[in-house]
Amino acid sequence: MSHHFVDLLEDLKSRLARMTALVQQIVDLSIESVFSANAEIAQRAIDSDTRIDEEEVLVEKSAIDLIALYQPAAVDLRLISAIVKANNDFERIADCAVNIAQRVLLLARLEAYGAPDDLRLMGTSVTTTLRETIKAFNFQEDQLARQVLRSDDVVDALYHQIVQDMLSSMETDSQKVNADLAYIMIAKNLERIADHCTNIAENVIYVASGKIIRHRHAG
Amino acid sequence: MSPSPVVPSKPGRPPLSVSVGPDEPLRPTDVTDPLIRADKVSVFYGDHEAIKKVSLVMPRNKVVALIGPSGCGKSTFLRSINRLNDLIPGCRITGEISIAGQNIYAPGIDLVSLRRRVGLVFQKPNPFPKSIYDNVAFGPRLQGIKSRNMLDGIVEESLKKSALWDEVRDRLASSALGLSGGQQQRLCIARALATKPTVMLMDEPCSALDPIATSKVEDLINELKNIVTIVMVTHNMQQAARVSDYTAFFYMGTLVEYDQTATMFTSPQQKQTEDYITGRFG
Repeated sequence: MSHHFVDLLEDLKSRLARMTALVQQIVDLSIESVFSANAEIAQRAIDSDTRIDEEEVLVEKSAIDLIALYQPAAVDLRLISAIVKANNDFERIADCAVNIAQRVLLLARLEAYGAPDDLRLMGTSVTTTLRETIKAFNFQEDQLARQVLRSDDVVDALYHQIVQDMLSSMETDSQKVNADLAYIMIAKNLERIADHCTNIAENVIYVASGKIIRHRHAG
Repeated sequence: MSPSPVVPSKPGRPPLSVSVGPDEPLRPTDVTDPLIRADKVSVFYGDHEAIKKVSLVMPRNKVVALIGPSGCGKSTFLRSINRLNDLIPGCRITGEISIAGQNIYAPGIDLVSLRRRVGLVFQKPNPFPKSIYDNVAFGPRLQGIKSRNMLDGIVEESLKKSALWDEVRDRLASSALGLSGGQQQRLCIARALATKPTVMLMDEPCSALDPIATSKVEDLINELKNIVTIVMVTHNMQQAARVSDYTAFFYMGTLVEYDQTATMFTSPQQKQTEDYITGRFG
């Protein structure tokens, strides 16, 4: 393949890397807004999604151009296909962050009520998972990607625990139903972020090995 | 000798997984009906070893593409399947190539009969300076068929199989040299089909054709594999990907990798194959 193609592929990878930095930022902001109960930070998170949407379209367009103009094969094809899919997952992660921030705006209008401890744990865990996912994708580190896959179980367990706790809370104190429901929705969106990270990690492994491990999690 | 490659696998990947045993030729795992089998085939031009102990199995009624950089030995290997290399002074071959179980290098093999069963289409269309009809009837006439009715039937059938009949049916007596390049190449394919071959060898059959003629020949190859086994040399990676069922990658006379085409173009096992397919060298 020509040097020109290699340069364009590097440009595409850089463009996605810039987008992942924005995604990390929006998720950090939204999680911070939950635990600081800060509507202003939540609003900043919501506002930053527009740029991510624009970047997503540009990444996809660049990837399609490369396929159409250069007909890449083997590792180049696997990488570009993984970029197209990861691009979609990263954009969805940003959407989840917006959903979380919108719940924070709702919580701000309710009577003060601190976030459950497990949600704090979940937030920390998802932040770490996302950071590792971004590193695994940008540097194509398949061992780190396998670590991301393993960490999804922790997030799932925390999510189920939070749902149980919030349902119990609703039964005992009907005044807190709206806040409890908001926390369930925040936990649900954090769990979705971790799911998208799993998809991205699976794509890293596909690029490295050529094996599609979706639906049969590798240990 | 083991067909293991001279190049290392990528880190963390197994060596060639398509071999069925240490002394067996390379054979993609889904090949169930082998037709052509090469065992430790080496071809020498004088002292130069152009092909180095190549072993592989090719299935019946499939298209196998041979790819690799210039001078890698793919055309030499192709021509050894119908013993065309015998015509080159100083060329000798060791090992064995069998078609449907018959060693084509065994003593007493009738070369005319062999080349009737193993047709060859060249890079540049090379119709005889005769009529369209006489080009197609040439082989059957050499076989001794004189009946006009029988020849008419063979000519029509061959031209239909090569997707040329509708374009030339009204001018069979015209010179073949008046056809376009793409039509001439399909006429050469019809000429090869007229002797009812079991194998069709194609040496860059589309390299002299424009995109439309190329597309017609590619469609034709896809149709023809129902009746013949096709082995094709091509420098066009996209063509190998579009047309073939299996792809063999040659480098410096060695068969580096041989597998299903989809696998070769998405997840080749050997780094050297990947580097070639992605254009990193070659």
